[in-house]
Amino acid sequence: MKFFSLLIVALLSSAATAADTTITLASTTSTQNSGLYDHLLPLFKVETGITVNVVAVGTGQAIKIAENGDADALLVHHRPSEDAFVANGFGIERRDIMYNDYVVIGPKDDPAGVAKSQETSDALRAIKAAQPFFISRGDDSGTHKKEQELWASSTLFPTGDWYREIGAGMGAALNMAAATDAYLISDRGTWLSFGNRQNLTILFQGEPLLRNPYGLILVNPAKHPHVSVASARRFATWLTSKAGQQAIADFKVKNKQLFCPNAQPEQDSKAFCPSNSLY
Amino acid sequence: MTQLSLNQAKVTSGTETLLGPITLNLNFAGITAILGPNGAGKSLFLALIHGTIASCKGTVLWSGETATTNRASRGYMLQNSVILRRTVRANIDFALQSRGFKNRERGFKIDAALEQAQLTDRADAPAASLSGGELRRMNLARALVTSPKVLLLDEPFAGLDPAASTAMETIITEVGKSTAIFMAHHDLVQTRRMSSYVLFFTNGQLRENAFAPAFFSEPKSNEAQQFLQGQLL
Amino acid sequence: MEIFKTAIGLILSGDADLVTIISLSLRVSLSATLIAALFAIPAGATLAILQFPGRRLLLVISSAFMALPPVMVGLVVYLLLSRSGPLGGLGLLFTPTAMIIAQTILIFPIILSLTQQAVQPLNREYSGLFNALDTSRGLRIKTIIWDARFAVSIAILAGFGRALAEVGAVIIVGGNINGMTRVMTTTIALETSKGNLQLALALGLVLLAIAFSISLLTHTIARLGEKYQMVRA
Repeated sequence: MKFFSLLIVALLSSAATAADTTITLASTTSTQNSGLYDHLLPLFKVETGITVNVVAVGTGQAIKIAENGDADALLVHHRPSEDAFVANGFGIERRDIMYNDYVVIGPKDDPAGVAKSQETSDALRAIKAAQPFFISRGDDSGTHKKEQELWASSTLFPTGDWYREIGAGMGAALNMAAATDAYLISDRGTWLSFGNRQNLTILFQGEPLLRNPYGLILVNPAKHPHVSVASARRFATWLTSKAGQQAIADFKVKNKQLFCPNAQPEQDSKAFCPSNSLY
Repeated sequence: MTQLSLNQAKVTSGTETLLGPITLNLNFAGITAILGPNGAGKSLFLALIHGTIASCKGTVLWSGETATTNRASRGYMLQNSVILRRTVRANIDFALQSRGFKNRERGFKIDAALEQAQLTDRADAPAASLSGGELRRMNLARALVTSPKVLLLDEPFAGLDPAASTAMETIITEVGKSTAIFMAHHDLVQTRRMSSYVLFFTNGQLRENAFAPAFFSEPKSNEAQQFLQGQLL
Repeated sequence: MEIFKTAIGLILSGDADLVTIISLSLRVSLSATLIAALFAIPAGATLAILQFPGRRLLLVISSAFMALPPVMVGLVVYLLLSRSGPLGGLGLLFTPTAMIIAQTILIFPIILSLTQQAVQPLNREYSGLFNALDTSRGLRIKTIIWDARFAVSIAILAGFGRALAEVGAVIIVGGNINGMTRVMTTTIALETSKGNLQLALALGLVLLAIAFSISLLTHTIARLGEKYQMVRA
């Protein structure tokens, strides 16, 4: 019996890591799937020795995890949610990090005629009129909330069999759109690294309304004393420093820059992000 | 000499009485046969005096001790062979394990029992591969291995061919020289040969108990007379 | 055909990330199986032997829990281990330990129920012998587990298969952290969400190959014990 107790203890022991050389970052699947973290985090580790463990889930779940104190920092892309997170006392020191944009994706033959739109509202109106299949995230994620805000700002309220709310992540939504020749709104990062495009392509992009800013917030140690706030703050500092911002700008997928760092407005961020390099 | 006494002992199931009441006092050695037609209660009687029946009333005492408390002093061979999924040796060893014998003692006790049961050459075979007769002898060896003072055998000859039957008779007779045996059996000729005492049952009642020669030559009860003449009861 | 080539290519390449992922999958699921089996097998055997009020209800509940949705187990364990939860102080969330805990809970009812069903007929068969020998409960449990070892090892294999194949529990309590809590199934989910369907399928084949090998191993070991199983009715 003693042997078995020792065996169980041995099996359950994870590798011990000193608390402050590892932090947990709650973030979103779209950010993770773009590959940004695979590029950034090793650089941060070399600089500071701190390992960042990313738990990538839907925006809603990421925020909940941070509220529960199960992460040391939160990196998401929905400003109203971020502000609420701080206002409710769960987070401190919100910082702008970067932005990318959303794109309207659809089948190459474009039955709704979205490609000739001048503005986002034209595109959405065209879709609502033609009623092709449209895939909505339906999961309260940053992307989903953005999509709903876009419909609302054109006073369009889509309902019907053609409008499919799937309650899943960006990848699942893209897979479904690819399989059914549907339209959807995606963040550029996920789209660029998505491997199952089939007939889909970008039909509309580039309007300021489609901008997608990211914010980094530290989990409030007053609420959750156990969090590694010092290490998390080092991450935030690095990410917003010249070095971190440059690292973000250097990240390319298929030779295209994916994110525009914007933590330092007083600097010439145009140098970081020439306006045509994103599109 | 072994002393067995029953006082108004009976086995019930709900309101029905399956066996008894039996009042009996025996001092015996050697082989005691338990006779009677099918359904007479022979197996039930063996279970009763071994102390494995929960719903028994009255008392069953072996030399003053209640039957349920001193099971360890008796060996019991069931009518249906129970075969553990292991070797013959391990099957026999199981009885010793159940009785809490220590490792060191078990080896040569098993060898002795194997020899008594003429199974030494089959010791390491899987028990599942034994013939019917060999299985019976294995069960007997399992009952013997704990060196019991009393041995209870439930139809040890059932289903055995003449050769196996002869082997079994030899073994039991040999064991009977040093151990008191209660044996339920059908064959009257064999019983007459082997036993010194007889308990005769019909319909759950003990009709007669007598020394074997007396029972076979001058049965007292009607049932016994009819039984010995081969009539249906 | 392409996916087979990709799968074989993956296996042969010895890609470091893949090796890490496979080792973690095996470590988590094997640990969970070992721990669950340690408790569920004796518990299942005890449930088969013991009579007590509410036993039937317990059997119904334990069979029902065989169909526990993994994602629900993950959610419950998350709520327990979260910093805001009762066991938050242990700091176990998003570690392989949390994954082992979740999978152990998930497969415990499977191993329990299947063990109970495997040993119950054996208990019935052996009960006459157990009673005659007054075998202790502990020895009865050990005996029926050992003699039913083939069926019990299938029960263990069923538990292991369930653990290795599930994604719902480990993704919630593990967080699918690169290099730390990413296993085969969560990697397949991830690659699917990135649209890398061929890679996901190939990984699935690798997973299947592992499961197949372990199943083959278990069956081979079990066959060694076949000669002890019953030959005649």
